[in-house]
Amino acid sequence: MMKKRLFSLLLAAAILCGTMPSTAFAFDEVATNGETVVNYTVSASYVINIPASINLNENPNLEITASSMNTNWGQRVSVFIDGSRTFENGGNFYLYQNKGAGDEKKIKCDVRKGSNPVNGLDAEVGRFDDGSTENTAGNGLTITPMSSNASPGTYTGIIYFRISMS
Amino acid sequence: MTVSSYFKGGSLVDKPAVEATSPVVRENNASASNSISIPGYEKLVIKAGQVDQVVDFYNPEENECYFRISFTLADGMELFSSGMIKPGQRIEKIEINHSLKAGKYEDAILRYDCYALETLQPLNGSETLLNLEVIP
Repeated sequence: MMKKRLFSLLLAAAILCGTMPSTAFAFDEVATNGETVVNYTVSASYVINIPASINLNENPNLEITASSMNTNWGQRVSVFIDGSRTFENGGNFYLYQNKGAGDEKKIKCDVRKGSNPVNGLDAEVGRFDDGSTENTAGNGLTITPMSSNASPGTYTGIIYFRISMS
Repeated sequence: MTVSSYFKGGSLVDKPAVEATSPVVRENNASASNSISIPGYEKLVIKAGQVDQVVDFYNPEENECYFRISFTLADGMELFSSGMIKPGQRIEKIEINHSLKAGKYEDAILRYDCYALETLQPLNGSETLLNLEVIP
């Protein structure tokens, strides 16, 4: 009789223990029905097109364009001539023939934005606002060699640009 | 063609044996005008305390020149300098010269030096300013 009662108690305890977890799981399913926040940040970016080379005999103008402007409203991408690297002492821009050699020759150039001389300055040549690929910086740059008595041949120089976003 | 490469300051193609000097603004009937596409970014995010970093530097496929890319802090500390990068080539993993502490570094300079494909003569170049964010 005692054994039977003990067996019944154990069975009841086992049933109770068996039902408790399932009740708990059922409760958890309801309580954890939440949400997960997924973040992914896309940084602003752009692609600016600078001239690889300019043949001054054909076109003395320097134009800057943009082929991609993945920026937000209120952001501006600006393109400047890097004056410290482009212009030499005194702010002059030179074209060279045989630069560094004993027979080096050079031609001084007049650089203007519209009618304003910009020799030595960090002139702004590109301005792109609010995600637009339209350059609103105004007049492009014009480069005119002062070559009235220069020796015949090809003269070259390098222009450096600085691009920033604000 | 897009190629991913891992290297530290090495060349993705052979460097010129002798650095050429020349073009860009020509005062004569030389090459035709064309343009160079320069990618720029608002910011770059890298990890603090380590030199291996994941980036996305590339030379746009439409370019007809090599890029040599260097990455420098505003105070002049050079973090990375690449070899010649072909048009369409991308660098996604680099090893920087100095690991950095977490923080924001403003006006870091991503500089593009450009070279003609056939002659390796220097072309007009550009540097882009960006904010470097170093996270723990």
